[in-house]
Amino acid sequence: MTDTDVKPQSRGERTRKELMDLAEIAILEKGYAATSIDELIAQAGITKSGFFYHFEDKLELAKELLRRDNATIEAGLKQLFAEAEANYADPLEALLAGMTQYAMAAAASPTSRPGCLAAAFSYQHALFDEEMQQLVLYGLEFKRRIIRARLERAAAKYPPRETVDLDALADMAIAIVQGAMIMDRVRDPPPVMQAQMDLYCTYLRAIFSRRAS
Amino acid sequence: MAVKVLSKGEATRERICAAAERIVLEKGFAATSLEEIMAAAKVTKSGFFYHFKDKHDLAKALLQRYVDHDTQIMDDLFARADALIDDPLHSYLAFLKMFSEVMDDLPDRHPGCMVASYCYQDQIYHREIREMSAEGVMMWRRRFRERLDAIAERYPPRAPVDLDALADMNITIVEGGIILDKGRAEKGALPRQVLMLRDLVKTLFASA
Repeated sequence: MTDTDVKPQSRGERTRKELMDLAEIAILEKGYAATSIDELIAQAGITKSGFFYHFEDKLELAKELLRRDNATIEAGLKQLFAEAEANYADPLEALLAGMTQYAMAAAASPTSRPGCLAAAFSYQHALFDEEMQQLVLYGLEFKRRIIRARLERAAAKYPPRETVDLDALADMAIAIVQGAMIMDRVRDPPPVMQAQMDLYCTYLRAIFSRRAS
Repeated sequence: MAVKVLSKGEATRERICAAAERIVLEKGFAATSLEEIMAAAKVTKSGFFYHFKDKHDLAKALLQRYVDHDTQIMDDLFARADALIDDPLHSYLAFLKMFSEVMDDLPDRHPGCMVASYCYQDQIYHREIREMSAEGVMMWRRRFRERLDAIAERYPPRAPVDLDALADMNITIVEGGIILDKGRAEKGALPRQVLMLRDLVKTLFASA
């Protein structure tokens, strides 16, 4: 997701942001354990004490990254659904357009392949603490909440024929996006992300379809 | 499942792999030392190096073992479904139901997928690991796709369906379900999501 920060920053703020950007790329490329403070300060051209001025340690940097990522994605998700709702009066069409945008945003990455910080941390969870686990959990919760709210609007207008577990249906979107990222990290292009989301949208359309089958 | 009697050497190798997989899925390969694997597997250094040339050799063995094991589980469940049900769609639906049950019956949440673990760590920079991972997911896609072709022939879908994407969804749902359960530190999303996929398949193919 794009950086919309335009306010002038002090040198300290710029250095802090640069360290975080470098660390995010390194962690998405090769994981937390393989990312060293030494390589980050070498790339940023600062001293070790410069690093510790900004972050207590590597763990605190990782948490700051996830806090920033959560905030960016939460705002981004809300915005893309708001745009879809501005473009489509129908809640189902807005939901589907928003989902497509969600997949596109998830596929975009500062690294060569898509990836998710929370997923990377989840596969190294024993290196972290309870606070990190809460940050990962928060990411799953706001995504479910935002998607579920849109599913509810679609369900209100087009009541499904059978009871649908909307939490599970919202989670399904998150799971598919996470799984598609993993496949697209492993496989060479073409990516599978958009086709996965298209199939999910086909399913949503079937669930909320007014037409009797 | 066929019970194979392991020789003493094979048993040791399997014990090392099982211990290593458990640790690697919790903290990642880079953060896992050979010393802690040896301690967890209760083998000596020479015992370890009798079976594995180096850490990279172990990395490859863990990945191959995971892909083989996962494929075996799928094949066994498909064989059971096929033995009970003649129809390709209903056999597939039965497979997904059984797969969900197997995931639900795990003593704890799914420990994780080695392919996913490596792809989020620097293992992915090893050409052999990358190729083995890509081959693994493509083999899984082909296995599902074959069955979906048979289903589509018997039950032509009302709207065109991207069968590769549907085959891939078996993989993405499982990978994503594991991430959900890891993130929530609980068990439940993975089996639930497999059932969601089952309903999706049913919706696409089953005529009312």
